Amino acid sequence: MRILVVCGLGLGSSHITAITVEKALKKLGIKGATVELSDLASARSSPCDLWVASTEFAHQLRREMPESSHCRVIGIKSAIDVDEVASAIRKAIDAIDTQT
Amino acid sequence: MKLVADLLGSPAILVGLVACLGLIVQRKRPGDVLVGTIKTVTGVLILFAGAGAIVGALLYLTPMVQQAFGVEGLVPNNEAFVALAMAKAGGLVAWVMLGGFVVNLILARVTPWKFVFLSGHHILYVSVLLVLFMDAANLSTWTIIVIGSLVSGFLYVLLPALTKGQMSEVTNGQPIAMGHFGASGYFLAGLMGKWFGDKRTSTEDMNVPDSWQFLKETVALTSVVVTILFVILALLVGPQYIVETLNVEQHWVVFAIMQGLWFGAGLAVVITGVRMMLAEIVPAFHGIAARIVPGALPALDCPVVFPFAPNAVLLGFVCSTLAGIATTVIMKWAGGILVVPPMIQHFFMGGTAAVFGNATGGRRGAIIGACLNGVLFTVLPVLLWPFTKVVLAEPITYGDPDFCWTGMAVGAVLRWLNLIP
Repeated sequence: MRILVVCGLGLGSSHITAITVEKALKKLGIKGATVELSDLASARSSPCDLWVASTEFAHQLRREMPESSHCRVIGIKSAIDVDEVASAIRKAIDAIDTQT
Repeated sequence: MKLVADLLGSPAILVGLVACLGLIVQRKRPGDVLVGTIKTVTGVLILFAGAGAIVGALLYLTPMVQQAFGVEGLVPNNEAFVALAMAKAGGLVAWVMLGGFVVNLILARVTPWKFVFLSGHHILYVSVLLVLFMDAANLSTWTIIVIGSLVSGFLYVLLPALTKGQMSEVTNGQPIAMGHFGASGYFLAGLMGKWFGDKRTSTEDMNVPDSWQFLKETVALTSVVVTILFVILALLVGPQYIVETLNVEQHWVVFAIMQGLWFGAGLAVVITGVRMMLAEIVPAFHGIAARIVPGALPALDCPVVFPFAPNAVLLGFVCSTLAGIATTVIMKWAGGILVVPPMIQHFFMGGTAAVFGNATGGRRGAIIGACLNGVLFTVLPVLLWPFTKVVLAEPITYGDPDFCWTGMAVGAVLRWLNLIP
């Protein structure tokens, strides 16, 4: 699984969110996932399984994607809340499973 | 000896070494250590490559602004400044980044300011700023490392402490702090909201149309702004000047458009470079800090407050930009300097200022706070420029208030000591 963590420029908050995503994956027992960083401009052209962004940028990402992939964009409110990120990832993976 | 000196003088190699050290401390596997280190070094080299594109566009900006308006032109942009300056600052930047982090940890342990500054890009930018000034003053290597680490390490706890009270209002008591060199501006925005605002009318009750969302694409917007500027300049100086004096072979309209786009492209490359170079260092700093000062609040980049008031962000961006452009026009009239509107600052920091203003003073607080910041992003770079002129020939300087304050303070001290002209 490839997860892309997105923030406005990919310079600051995405680095912290990526650490939280790593912790969340560990908590969920998901192994072998790669977590990468991106900015808003290049995120849509980077194929991946999940996009994680703050609610602000997740909204913008969803607008630009086909509706079928909307569940793969995860919007999170806190960059450091492992529980929030873990449950959001869980929910997204379940949604993808029911879709396919 | 030259081999060692050249190796340790190369910022790419030294920043790579810091990343390598961080990966080893985190007990990563040898393969991951190797790849992580190489990626970090690659990031620094990408940064240098992007600098070339930015310089290419700026080469024409100065003479065209001079010809059209009879004043100097200035581009406040942290990323462009660092991309150009880093090669000059050399390997010392890596030592100051590391030393500043250590000083931050010590201060977080022994003082009541329990913050760990984790905005990696700002750690880089302030280190470049400090090293560059002290290097121009011909201070010894050790002096630069020690003073650079002390000053930056102190700022890493001072800035989050400044906004601590307001941050808990913004985030409803979340355990995060603001780790950003725009803190003084946000603090002022919060004060403005408190003094002149009205908490009952939140920006979040407003209805912001979806069509405004494109404003979040700041790099693209930067290209647009610089392109418009070049087209205006081209119209003012006329095709003859562009062909004969600037020796441009392209059609002048195409030339103007391409210069703006090249600047944006260079910026995109530089940002990619900074991201790659920090991707391994930030997690290492985070991991080490969690072990040494477990109770400290992480001080994070400004967009972490965006989810708490998304409408305020867009409102703040618009207000900051308008206030900034108005300031530019006034300063140009006053015969000063033409400042190219710093769109990254107007969005990220104007937006954050509005989130602060909204938390303390609702809609009116957001507007006043963002406008004030827009003025700061335009005036402060002009005040910093006389100092950065000493160290960098290109018309680029920092845009964020606290980089400007720091640069002015350090520059003024060095000038007072007669160490820089």
